Amino acid sequence: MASSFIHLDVRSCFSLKEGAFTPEQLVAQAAALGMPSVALTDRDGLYGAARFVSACEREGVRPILGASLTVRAPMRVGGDERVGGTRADAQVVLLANDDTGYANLCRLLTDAHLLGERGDPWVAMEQICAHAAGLTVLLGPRSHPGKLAIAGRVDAATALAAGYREAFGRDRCVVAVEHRVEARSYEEIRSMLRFGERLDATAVATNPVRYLLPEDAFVADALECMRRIVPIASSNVTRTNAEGWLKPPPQMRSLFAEQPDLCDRTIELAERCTFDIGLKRIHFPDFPTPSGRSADALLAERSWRGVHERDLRTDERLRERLHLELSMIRQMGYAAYFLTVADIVADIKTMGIFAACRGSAAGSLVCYLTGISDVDALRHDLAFERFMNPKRDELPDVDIDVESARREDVYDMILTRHGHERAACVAMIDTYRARSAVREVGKALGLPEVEVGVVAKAFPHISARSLRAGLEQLPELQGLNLPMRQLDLLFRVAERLDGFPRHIALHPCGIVLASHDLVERVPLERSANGHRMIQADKDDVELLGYLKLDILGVRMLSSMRHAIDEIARTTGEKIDLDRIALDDEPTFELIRASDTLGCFQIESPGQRELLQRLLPTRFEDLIVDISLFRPGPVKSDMIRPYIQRRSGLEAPTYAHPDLRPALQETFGVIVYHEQVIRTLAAMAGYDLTDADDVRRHLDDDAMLPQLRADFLERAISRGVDPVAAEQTWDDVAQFASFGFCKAHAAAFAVPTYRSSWLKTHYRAQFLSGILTHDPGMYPRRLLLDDARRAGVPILPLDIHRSEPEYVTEETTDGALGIRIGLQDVHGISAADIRSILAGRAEHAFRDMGDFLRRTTVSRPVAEALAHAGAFDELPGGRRGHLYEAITVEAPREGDQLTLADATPPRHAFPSYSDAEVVRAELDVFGLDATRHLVSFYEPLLRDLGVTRARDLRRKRQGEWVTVAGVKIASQTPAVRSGQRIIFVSLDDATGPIEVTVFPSVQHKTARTVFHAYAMAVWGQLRRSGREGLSIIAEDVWDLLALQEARRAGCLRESMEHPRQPMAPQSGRRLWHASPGSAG
Amino acid sequence: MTKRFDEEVRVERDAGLPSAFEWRGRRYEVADVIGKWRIEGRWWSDGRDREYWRVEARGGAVWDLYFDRQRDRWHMERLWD
Repeated sequence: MASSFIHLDVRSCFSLKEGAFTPEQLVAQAAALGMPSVALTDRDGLYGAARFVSACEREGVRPILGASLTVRAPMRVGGDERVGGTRADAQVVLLANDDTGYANLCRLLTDAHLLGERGDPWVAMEQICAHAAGLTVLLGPRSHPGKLAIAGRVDAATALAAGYREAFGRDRCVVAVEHRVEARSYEEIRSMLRFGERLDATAVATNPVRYLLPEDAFVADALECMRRIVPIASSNVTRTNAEGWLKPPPQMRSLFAEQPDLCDRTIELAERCTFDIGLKRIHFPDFPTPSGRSADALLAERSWRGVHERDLRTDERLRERLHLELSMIRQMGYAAYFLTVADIVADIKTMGIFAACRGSAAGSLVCYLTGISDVDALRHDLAFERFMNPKRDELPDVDIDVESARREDVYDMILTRHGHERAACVAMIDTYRARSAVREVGKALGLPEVEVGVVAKAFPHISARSLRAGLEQLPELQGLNLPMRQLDLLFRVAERLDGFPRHIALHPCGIVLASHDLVERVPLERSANGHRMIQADKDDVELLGYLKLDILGVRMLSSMRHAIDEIARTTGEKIDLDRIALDDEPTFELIRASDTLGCFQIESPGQRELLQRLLPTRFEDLIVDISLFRPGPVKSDMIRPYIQRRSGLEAPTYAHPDLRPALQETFGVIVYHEQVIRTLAAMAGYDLTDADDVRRHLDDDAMLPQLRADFLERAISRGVDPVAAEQTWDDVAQFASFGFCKAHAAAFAVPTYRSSWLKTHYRAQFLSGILTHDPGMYPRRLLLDDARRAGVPILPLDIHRSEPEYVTEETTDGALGIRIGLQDVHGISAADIRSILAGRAEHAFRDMGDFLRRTTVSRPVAEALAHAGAFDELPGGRRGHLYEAITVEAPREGDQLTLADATPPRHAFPSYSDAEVVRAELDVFGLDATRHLVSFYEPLLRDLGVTRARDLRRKRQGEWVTVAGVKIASQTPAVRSGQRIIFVSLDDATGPIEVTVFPSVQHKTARTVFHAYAMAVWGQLRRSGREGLSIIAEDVWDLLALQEARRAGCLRESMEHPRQPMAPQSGRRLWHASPGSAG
Repeated sequence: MTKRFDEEVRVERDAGLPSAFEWRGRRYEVADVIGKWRIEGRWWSDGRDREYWRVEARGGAVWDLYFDRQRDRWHMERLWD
């Protein structure tokens, strides 16, 4: 004991922007220093608790859990005296001795967060004292009594601490003495010891650990200033030296050499903290059942009821399967979870919101019968073991997709219905990435925002650790006007923040379903939008043994809801997507023609290519299609043998006749996880749970030889030919990592089919849904083009006809068109839209003055509306409307001004050119609604000798071509080498063109690639795979600049000097340059 | 009274503790070490890493000396006499 020490005041990076290390790093360092135990006492939270304990278990260090609570004192404390001369917040450390103590700690932290303002957690001393059971309180130099004592007022300190002393008793009310090696440390220690004696409390030695090593102290300074949003400067940094580190026991002992008993008491205290959080012990949710009924009995009853409701045949296969699932659920204790989830899904549907189960849960018949999933696991032959089996080391959970636009409503319903203590949202730890770290540190260092922005932007998604390499390799950073020393500081700090939590956000989908004791094991707080949220992310939830339900907002579901509402509005038909036939031939015709832009999961260029090869004819083909379209199968060309065999060009082969039942549906090719499981089971005689266990370890190279040997031995002992056994193993091992969970694909295939069905039969309504909710990978302008090509008219923005969303509208010639919605008008608010709807319901807007008077719309937004043609139906012309939007008097309601007075004399303005119309549309709502943007460049494209997308297919590998188009997407995936490849997709109105820009040409092209919205590219054609095409860029030009050059008659010259940066034109607002404009 | 300086001094150590120092040509024997602390930081500007010693010299005056760990030099900062 004499040489050991245990740290009890330790703040990690989960004390947001304070501690300069992760819990894992803490535990590793404690283990390296031979410490038997270490505490984690983060500020106002237990965010790091689960991973801390988990790391402790790995390293063999005993964890002590606690927290530093912010204590707010009333104005006057101890008679008329202010505490320590101020009433500033103070902090006490609470350590959990046992279960009761930890429950109290969680309750206190929950109160701290929920009772006050969000982001300002605090408690009063009285609250702490009321929850003293099972806790130890450390009154250190940062506590109110400690501050008083240090200020020399030991009597006042003792009086103030009497409440703690009484509530916690002599052993658990502890005075924490620090030796921070500061000028006044000796005096402070003497004062604290006197305070401890007067209070008759135990005194222990501690050190406030905020970094692990003295040389890391600078990180803590930066964090402190970033937390307080002040510049990094001496006046803003609290620490005066670098003593707040995880000092090794000998150093702690020598600091307190005069009173070694202080360190002995520390260890005694640590040893009394025996609380064990019990990781991975599962906490099942409560489900209130009618008197005397067990959850298991209720689930069985509901499942059988489902058999009748779903109109299934009660045969032996169903009986057997249901029995298997129900007994597995009983064995694992999951009945209450299923019942809770089933209730939630039913509630969602009652709210009139689409809900669809995704993932492996769709492989469960019970899920189908209880309405959780709409996929018949029996019909599609899905394996339950893939979802749930006792050998899995992760807890099964259910994922439910809901309409994205209604996700908040769903959350509110669940949290209300399932109560404060049984359900809460899961948190998501938002961590520092290169960009955010550079921005915040740059700000704290007082570097110019623009320059820091350039540095930050250059690193979209790479880790802070590769900042330096990036600086040398990225051409757009050359010539940056920042001194190297400043950059060096910036990087030194920023790279240390990599992976530290930045703030705690709401997880986009997780809901934890617990029993009533949730709040005793995890503190709750409020998310930014007011949802109850636990201080644990999804990994923590798993570690803590809670079950969760993922509720994902899916835009496609909102799009389909919108389409169905539109169909009802325009035709009176009520479509029930649950009841549409799954064998609709026109739908499959659309799919085979790969006219699937906007359709769920099958709209990408690669998918559309695959559809053309696969030519689906039935629902099951869509399941295969979704499963095959994955990087693995595509890359290894698993697709070819499947298609060959399916079309009868090749005979299916099976390594062994026993494999036929498992692989028949895919002609002997392993496509699904379920088939891997069944193949292993059929050959080696594993039961399905064991087989799934083997499957999940097939990517573990270390285990592979042993798994293989075991498989071969078992298969051969069952009389399988060794050659066949080996071949089967090779197939399985090769395909397992590519395989896809069939249940997941089957669940996905439902919205795939339904969206395709809607597009086939109700294209205008479907596209209006897609345009409104924007679910897919393509920008809206491409979807508009899709509508135009199919003969669906696009109707312009109109102040009297446009709805908030994109809606369908019959045109004068009887066609069903899509009216552009108000929602995407730049700068418009929901309140603006409401006021426009209310205003026009009263009576039509007479003119701009009338519009401004009767709506909340601001002048800039009115200008934008006029600019985009929303007032075109009113007399005066666009420039006239713009003029009015800027100049007209808009008296408020009730002003004694007649309308005639308010309307200015009308001027005659020239009308917009076609090009101006489209530019205005792009400016205001980002869509070229009237015409395709590229159409304005046609003469230029001819002069450039551009090859159009539809003609690229005829070009040879390696041929040099010029292509051009509007940029629809650019991607710069992080590459491990630090090299950066830019992928750009262009659209030239005949199809998409993929362009690859390698680092070797980025010095002359990167600027244009990132900043131009339309460009011409000269490069070499490269084919990849059977159908893949891309252009390897050699040079890139801004199309707008070329257009100007062509007008000026110097196109050729301007292309010869591509290295000179071209003037950015895209931001220019055309009407400001026009004659007669008031701008 | 207190006087502030920032002058280099030569310090002799004995078992890690300052035992004597030489300032402005005169040698002072350390009678007692009263305190020791560290100041470190300011990495964003000059950087600073100092080990302070408060000593009582023979004769009763109290001195604050610091060892500049970056430059490996001793300074005299303060004198109470």
